Amino acid sequence: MLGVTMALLDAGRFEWSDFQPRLVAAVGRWEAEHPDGAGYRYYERWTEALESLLGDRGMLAPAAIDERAAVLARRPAGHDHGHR
Amino acid sequence: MTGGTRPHDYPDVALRAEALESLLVERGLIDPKVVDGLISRYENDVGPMNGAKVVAKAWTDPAYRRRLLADGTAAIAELGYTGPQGEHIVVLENGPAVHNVVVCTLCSCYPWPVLGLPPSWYKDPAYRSRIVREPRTVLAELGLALDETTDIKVWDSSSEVRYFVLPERPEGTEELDEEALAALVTRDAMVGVGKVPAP
Repeated sequence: MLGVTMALLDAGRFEWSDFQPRLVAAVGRWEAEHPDGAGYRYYERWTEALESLLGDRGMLAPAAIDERAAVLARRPAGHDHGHR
Repeated sequence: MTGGTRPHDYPDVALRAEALESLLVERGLIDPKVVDGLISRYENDVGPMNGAKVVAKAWTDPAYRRRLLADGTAAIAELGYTGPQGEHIVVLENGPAVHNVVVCTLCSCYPWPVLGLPPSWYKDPAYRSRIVREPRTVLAELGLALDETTDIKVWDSSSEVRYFVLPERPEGTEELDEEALAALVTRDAMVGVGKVPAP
């Protein structure tokens, strides 16, 4: 999601100052719910922040992501991509 | 599982990320070749080896060192290291009396042009909260035992500023050229969780 975020920034779809507060909020929410910090996955916080920004800006609705993720989930094993 | 809402477990997050990327590409919001190029850049071209060159130059060129401490962004840009997260870099000078260490308490802010992407431990809640509360203990756990007389200053990158540590030059390196010096400089020393080891 870092590559995707940087590409969006590069294309001028939003500014870093639009994204970072959402990342901070996503991190803060997770930490408030998990005081011991166990199981923290930064990648998930980042993805959450990006989805929230894209959704609020009308660029990509969460429902569209839900639908597409469900389609991908039905794919046979071995096609999954790495972190981008 | 049929129907209902899928819980956001880890494997599902990876699927959502892939879904997100493919939809953005389909809608013309990003170009996958640009994504590939950026990933490749941050895997190969941008990393601590850049910061190490900045440090080695500062150690061997007193005028550069002064410029670096006065305006980190500009001095780092002199070596060609610019780009995202490098818009405002402040360089902290470590010495025997004062040891500076960097954190981003709120997320993972890091000076990408000189250090590349941050390691997992830097992003982890434990480091981010404990380094502020008990720096001497955390540094000792990370292998850096500092004298009680050394003042520790913790710098939080949670704003527009990205901090970068200029570590002390180790003993026994007088004969080394810039390239050899750069090879000694570790990422950890430039974050402040280590010192540059003597050769």
